[in-house]
Amino acid sequence: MNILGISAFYHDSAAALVQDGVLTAAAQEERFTRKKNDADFPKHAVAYCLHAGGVGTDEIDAVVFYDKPLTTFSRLLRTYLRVGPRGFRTFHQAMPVWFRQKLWIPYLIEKEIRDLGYGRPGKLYFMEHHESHAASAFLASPFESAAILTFDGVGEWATASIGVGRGNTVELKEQLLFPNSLGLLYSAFTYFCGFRVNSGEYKLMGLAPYGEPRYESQILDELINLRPDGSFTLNMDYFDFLGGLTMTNHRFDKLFGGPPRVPESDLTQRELDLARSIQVVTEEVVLRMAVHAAELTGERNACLAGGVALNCVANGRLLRDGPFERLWIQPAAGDAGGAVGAALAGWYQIYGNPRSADGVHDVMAGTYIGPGFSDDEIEQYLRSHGYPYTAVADGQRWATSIAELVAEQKVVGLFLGRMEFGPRALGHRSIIGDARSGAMQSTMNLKIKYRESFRPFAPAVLAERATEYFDIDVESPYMMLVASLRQGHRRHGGADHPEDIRDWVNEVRSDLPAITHVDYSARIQTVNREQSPEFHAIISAFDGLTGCPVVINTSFNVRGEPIVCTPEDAYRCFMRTEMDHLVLGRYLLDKCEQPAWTEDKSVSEDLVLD
Amino acid sequence: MRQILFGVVVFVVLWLLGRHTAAIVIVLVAGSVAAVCALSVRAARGMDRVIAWVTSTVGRGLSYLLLGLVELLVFTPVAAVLWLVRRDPLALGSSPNDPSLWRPHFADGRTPLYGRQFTYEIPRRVVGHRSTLGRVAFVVGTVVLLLLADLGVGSAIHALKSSNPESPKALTSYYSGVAAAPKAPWWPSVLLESFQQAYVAQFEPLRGFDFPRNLSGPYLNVTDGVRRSYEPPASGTGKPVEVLFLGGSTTQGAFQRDDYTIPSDVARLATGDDIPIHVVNRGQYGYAIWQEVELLEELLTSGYRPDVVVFYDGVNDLSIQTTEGTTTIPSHLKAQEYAQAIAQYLHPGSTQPLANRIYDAYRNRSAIAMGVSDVSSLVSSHPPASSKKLTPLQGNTQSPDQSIPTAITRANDAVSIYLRAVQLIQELAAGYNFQVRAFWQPFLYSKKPVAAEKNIEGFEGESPPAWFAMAAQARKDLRPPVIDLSDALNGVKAPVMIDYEHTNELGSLAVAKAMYGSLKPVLTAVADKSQP
Repeated sequence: MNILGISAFYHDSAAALVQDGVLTAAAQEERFTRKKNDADFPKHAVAYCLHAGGVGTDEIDAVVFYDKPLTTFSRLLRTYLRVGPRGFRTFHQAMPVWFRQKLWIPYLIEKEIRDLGYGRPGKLYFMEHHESHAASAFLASPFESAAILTFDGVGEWATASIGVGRGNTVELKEQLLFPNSLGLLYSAFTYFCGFRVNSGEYKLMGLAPYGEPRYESQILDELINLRPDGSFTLNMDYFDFLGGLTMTNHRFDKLFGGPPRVPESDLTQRELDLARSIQVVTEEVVLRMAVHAAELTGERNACLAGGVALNCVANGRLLRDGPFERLWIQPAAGDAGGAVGAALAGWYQIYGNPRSADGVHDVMAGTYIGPGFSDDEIEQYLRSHGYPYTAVADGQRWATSIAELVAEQKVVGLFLGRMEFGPRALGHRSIIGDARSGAMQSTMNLKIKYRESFRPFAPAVLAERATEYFDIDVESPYMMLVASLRQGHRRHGGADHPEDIRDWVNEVRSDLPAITHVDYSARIQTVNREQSPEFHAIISAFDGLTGCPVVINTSFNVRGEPIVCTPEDAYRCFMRTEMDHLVLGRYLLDKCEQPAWTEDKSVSEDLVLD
Repeated sequence: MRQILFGVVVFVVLWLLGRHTAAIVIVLVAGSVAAVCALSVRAARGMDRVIAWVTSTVGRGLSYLLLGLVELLVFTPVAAVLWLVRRDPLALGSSPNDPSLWRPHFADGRTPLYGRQFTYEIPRRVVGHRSTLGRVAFVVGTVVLLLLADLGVGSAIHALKSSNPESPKALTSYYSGVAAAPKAPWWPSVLLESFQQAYVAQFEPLRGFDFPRNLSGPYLNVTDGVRRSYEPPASGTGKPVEVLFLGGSTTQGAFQRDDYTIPSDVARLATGDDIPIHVVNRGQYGYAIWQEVELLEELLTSGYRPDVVVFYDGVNDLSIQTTEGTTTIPSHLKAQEYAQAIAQYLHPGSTQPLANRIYDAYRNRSAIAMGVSDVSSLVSSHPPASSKKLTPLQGNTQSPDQSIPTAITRANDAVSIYLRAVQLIQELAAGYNFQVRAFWQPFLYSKKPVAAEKNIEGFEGESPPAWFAMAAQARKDLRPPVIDLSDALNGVKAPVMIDYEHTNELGSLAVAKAMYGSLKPVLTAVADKSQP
């Protein structure tokens, strides 16, 4: 039975395919269209999933959409009834889109699938937005039963949900409703600090350790009325997102001492402190919600999804200080993951198929469920373009060669096997470097990623040696948890930190400076042999050469661009940045040997700001 | 393909709105552009870009406008009411003061509906057990809503189509498809003045109806019931011949300036022949011969003594038969309307049932009725019947019986009534010592057909075949001393008919010339007699 899950028309559209209960393929549309956060119907992703699953033209048994459009529309109409004429600016933008597209989603889905050459799907279902998130969290998890927590900006009405998953069912028990939204509160601060909503939230999280929670009490006193059970109301006097074009209004500006930061301008202490303050408040809300969820469900394990679940700092705090023994967080926690949740919910929840969980293995297959390219395909691509390469057939020699390059302080692009699903690059579409280097963070940020240098890189560490370096006793294969570097690897600097954040970030404060944040935290990926043998082999080889089982792992893209999908994308990114080497499967490419890049400009010249 | 479809839609909409010329121009332009695009790919691309730009700009503008209206007329008032009653549409039953803001996912045991685009609905069994009364209320409510929607759309279309019929722009636009409409700057004003006069008919007990006795405008002036006419320059050749003109709107000079009506033209022609003349134009909109006889009696009995009285009739006498019902006794064009009003006053409730009146009121504004009317008129190649609302002078609805035999009977009856009036007039002339000439007027259905005038056939909802038959039969029935001027317009090559009864100034001059041929000996004789 082939069940296709689709998320689309808001942001991060994606498709996922579940075949007889197995998640066989999933991909985000942005990877194919090269438009970051592409929200259009994911026709490329659907085509990929159906092709990867070998689905015949009349073999789509069901399509499950991750949202209830009419319920969302009713919320939109009520919102305009709340704001009256103040909402006209967004009203005239939103309504044409709804009348042209979003009210006709069943027909659009059918049409797009037919345009791909497939027959009409057997059935079409609609899950609630937070049900999809909840399903993506629990039904993909290794747990037989667990509490479920989902939180994001807003679905139809819900902004956060508490539920319970048992066996093959997901039951949402309680919801927090719009406009009281933790996701929107966080996005309001993202906007106010000069970053883009829906994509800049992780930057705000990265900025938090530099600041002090000076505004925590103002947020709790003025902006939200937080209850002991984690529910809260937002004081809408300070926000403009109901009917305006911005997230916050002049009262918000007044409360925090001035207008929002202009994007790309210098960061001031205010932004650092705001980032820290909202991070502290977010963690507090998440913790309270978790306590309430534990009481409500009586479960000892929890599954998380929704955009807020991408806040790995809060996740780490929840794991340390929360009521649950174990956490499993959907790696594609944002809206893209809704496609996975919808497809899994179709198989289990709607069709009632039995589910078994062993408590260890999830169904995400390391998230390596995106498009993959065989060595033959890669070689054909390289040959057809005349790009020089070295083929290394022997697996050990291949891994050692790459490790040697990293040890020589080279920046290496990794393009291995199937692409990851979700926002994290986990070794198959990654750029790696030497985590021991004092200059590597700055080098990779400015010469490869073309982004603000305050953001730390994530470490990829061999799973079996993670506890030697980090205060963590569970695996974090999806880079969804933050853990502190162990004391033994820290180097303590002076009590005062530099005025300029760039100097501060470049301070060497551990023997792994490139991945150590100013508070010694790191967003870690534990790499195990089972899920990614090639990536594990590379880090093992690096460990053998240097005695360090940790490398920098950052996504294979530049700022404002989606992660690369095809060898062509990878080669283009490789040539347009100052990356030194590129690994395409078993083929190694040296920048010095490549012909001059004449196809288009350097990426730094036409950078799309994110 | 989409562009062609768009062109067809625009054409149909314009055609239904009565903008026939614009519709044809659109088709011609679109056809030319399509031909050019078919011959040149570059031109086609350029045209695509232009069309895309225009449509997107127009679309954006319309989007702003329509959504602005919805926001202003729907959301803003409701939002204001909700604000006044302190009800938050986003609260969904919760209060900010609740100790917890968590809400149950499915209240009241509702279950998820995976097959639907909404979260939950009222359970089906409740719908299934709707009471009979509930079903009736549902059906009635639905019908009322549909009727209201029909009325709303119809009213909007009506407003679009007619806007203000008294505005010169609307009138000019309405008559833009009439070939005889003068292309002169004074035309809109003359149209407006003609219509304004027509709309103010008042009940008059003896003659049926009357019009204001004084009107003044740039081109149409009436003083004490007399339309201003051409005044010959003063001469010392003797007392001018006093000529009284009686007739309907064609005599009065609808759609013509004061100095270019039939009486003015006759006066000018007589002056050219050195015949001293003073014309008195007492033509009245809608008058038939018996009303004129009554008016003449009033004038004579009040001491007025004309030398010559000219009667110019025909169309209204025939029209009475088609709008007021076939009759062998004198009547007038508002006889039924006034009879109903009087009957209703004298015997309330005995006239047209309320239901009929409601139905009539509804039908006048129903979009569906308009559509049916427009489509049927398209099929029958006649203008929509609703267009008669703009014609000022015949007014009432034509009888549904438009068969040829009935038309012939009507012509016989009309001429019979007419001739009896002429006989009486002759006796009056003998008694009061004046000369009289009775002319039978030419009109669209009695004159030689002209291609450019074809499109005004049926302009006021009349049946052209019936009217052609009526006109022909009437001519056969006429007897001396009536002078038949039915051929008076045949010598004019240019189109002269504004509608089926009225002419432009060129037409009135042709009629005046024909009339003058018969009048000249009389005028000369009277003038000679009055020479000192």
